[in-house]
Amino acid sequence: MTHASDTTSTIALIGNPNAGKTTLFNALTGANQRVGNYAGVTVAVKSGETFTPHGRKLRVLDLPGCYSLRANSPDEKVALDALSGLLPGEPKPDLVVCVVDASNLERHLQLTLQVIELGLPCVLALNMVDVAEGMGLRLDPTKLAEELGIPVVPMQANAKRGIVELKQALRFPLPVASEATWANPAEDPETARRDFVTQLCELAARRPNAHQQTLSDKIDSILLHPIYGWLSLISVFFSLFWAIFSFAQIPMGWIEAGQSALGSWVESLMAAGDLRSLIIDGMIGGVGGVVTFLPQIALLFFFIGLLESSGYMARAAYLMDGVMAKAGLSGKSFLPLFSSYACAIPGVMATRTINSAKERLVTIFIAPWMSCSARLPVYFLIVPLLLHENEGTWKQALVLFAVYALGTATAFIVARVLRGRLGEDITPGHFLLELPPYRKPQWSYIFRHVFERALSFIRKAGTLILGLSILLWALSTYPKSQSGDPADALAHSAMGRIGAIIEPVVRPLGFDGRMGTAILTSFAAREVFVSSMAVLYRVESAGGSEEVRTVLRDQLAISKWPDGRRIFTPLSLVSLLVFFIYAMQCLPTTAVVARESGSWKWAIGQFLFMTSFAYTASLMIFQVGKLIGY
Amino acid sequence: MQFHWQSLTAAGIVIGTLLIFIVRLVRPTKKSGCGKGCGCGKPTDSTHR
Repeated sequence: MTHASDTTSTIALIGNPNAGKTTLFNALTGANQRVGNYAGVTVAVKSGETFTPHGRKLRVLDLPGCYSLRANSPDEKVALDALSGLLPGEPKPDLVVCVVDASNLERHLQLTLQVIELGLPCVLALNMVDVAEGMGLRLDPTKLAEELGIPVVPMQANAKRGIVELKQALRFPLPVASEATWANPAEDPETARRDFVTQLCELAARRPNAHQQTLSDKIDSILLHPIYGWLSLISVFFSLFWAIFSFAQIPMGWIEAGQSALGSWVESLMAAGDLRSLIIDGMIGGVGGVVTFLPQIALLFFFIGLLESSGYMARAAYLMDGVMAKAGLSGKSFLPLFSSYACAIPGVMATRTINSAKERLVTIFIAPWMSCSARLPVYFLIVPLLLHENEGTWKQALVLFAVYALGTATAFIVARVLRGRLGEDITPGHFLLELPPYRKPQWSYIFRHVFERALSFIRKAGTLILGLSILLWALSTYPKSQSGDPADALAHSAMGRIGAIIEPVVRPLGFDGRMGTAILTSFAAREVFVSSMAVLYRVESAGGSEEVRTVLRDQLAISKWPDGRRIFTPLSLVSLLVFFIYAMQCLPTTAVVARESGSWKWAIGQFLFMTSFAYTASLMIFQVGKLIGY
Repeated sequence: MQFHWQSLTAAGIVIGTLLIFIVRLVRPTKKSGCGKGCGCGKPTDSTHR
């Protein structure tokens, strides 16, 4: 293959799922794409740039993991299209880097042989040599290179070992395509490949004779046990929620104190007036109300990163397979659904790993019911209001655990009903799950990921939420009333009038017009609910004689109906929680669902179903609760 | 009718914010990698199905 000196060559990284392609991609390009110690993390082609030791630019494509080039699922088809040059906007790669797990060569090399058979120049990245050597495998990369006829580079991508050697192998002129010496027209191609790989492994990757039980095997005997495994799963997630509430209290206190001090400082600098009110009640109150929950969100992503990086996530998928089967899904749906706990958008995209179109559609439909991180500020606001402040954090963790469990359980029930209506697949699918060995977490990746998520949260608070807080303040301030009473002023404002229109619709759910308005604004983004509440309920503290500014939660606790009853009773708070568990309040997710399902009807149907379900569930909870005397 | 400088400044900020929202709403948007500001990782150079 010839290369014009002025063109950039393209290199594709291919390999089985969880071989470390994205880790290698990040190491080569300096990117920070999502990685995890389980199969199916990458579902789309990602591209970046790197340089050879002589400074030539190379374009690097990170392809989704695949076991073969048969293209059974949408993500595998993407990988095959990329290798064949059929991907729109991407040329056929000039070289393929086959990334293999050195501890599992028998399976991973099958794909490498198929790539060589395509006639593509190839380099073998023998990744995870540390794991293979730890298992007692005796690797001979020189022998492997001789037999395959391609350069072989031993490496440990997560520690950036072997990157320089790999770049040396990518220098110009690029290696030429090797011949498929194992291919024999008289023999079945798969049998020929299997025999060749067995022979190759005997020569270049000898295993110790006796089968040794590894540390991962010993840990799995507990974590995959039918009883202890489930107990461990529940304990892991309960501890996660408890840790979020407990550890976040101190930094949250700092943020609240900072917010209060900032408000008081502005108050001391400026005379009373519209601008002071806009800065303190609109900007600081609105943005601060959301930013307070930053420590909890950062902690959640830290723990998710820890579970993903260690390899526990694949075990959770294994345990959940039985439960998923009862819902008419398979373990393949678990990982997209788990991703949705962080954000439904990557979760919906991760359904590309599912072979069955019907199962994929159902998984997309229920994914937004996994409580995403945008709901967390709302939960963190409501859950402590439900409990007395002296109650232990473990009770708050228990409520949050129940919130997640309720969303998940309802999603599974709906999936079961929907799957029944869609009918069985013509070709039954099989769920094949690889259980990777437990690994030490990649701390640098986890901390970078948490930092990026925190930055993204702050960026959103400083842009969208700040803007909406300013507009909400204006709506709750203008037109001005002549009355000096803040409650009258709010009732006279545009927001008060909107609230009066909405109130008859939301009152049966236990909400007043202000809550109804805050819910309406949260359809732009869920977190805006907290900002709206901070702006709309400021009247309680501003009207009092004391000048001490209370945090939003305390303001809500003292809010009353005109007849003096408390607005936020345990029943109305549960009703509000239930509404947020079920309502579909994320326009970007609706757009991604339309794209992934190929149908706006499906996306709009999902929006209408989830929102009406949320309304009905809240209505039933509040009305039944009232009937039985709560 | 006399307006206080604080009222005028506050009204200016509100109108400015409203204009930014309107401009962003009507301006054609670039395709992003994985949703808009959902915080699920930075957009990639190119992403294909």
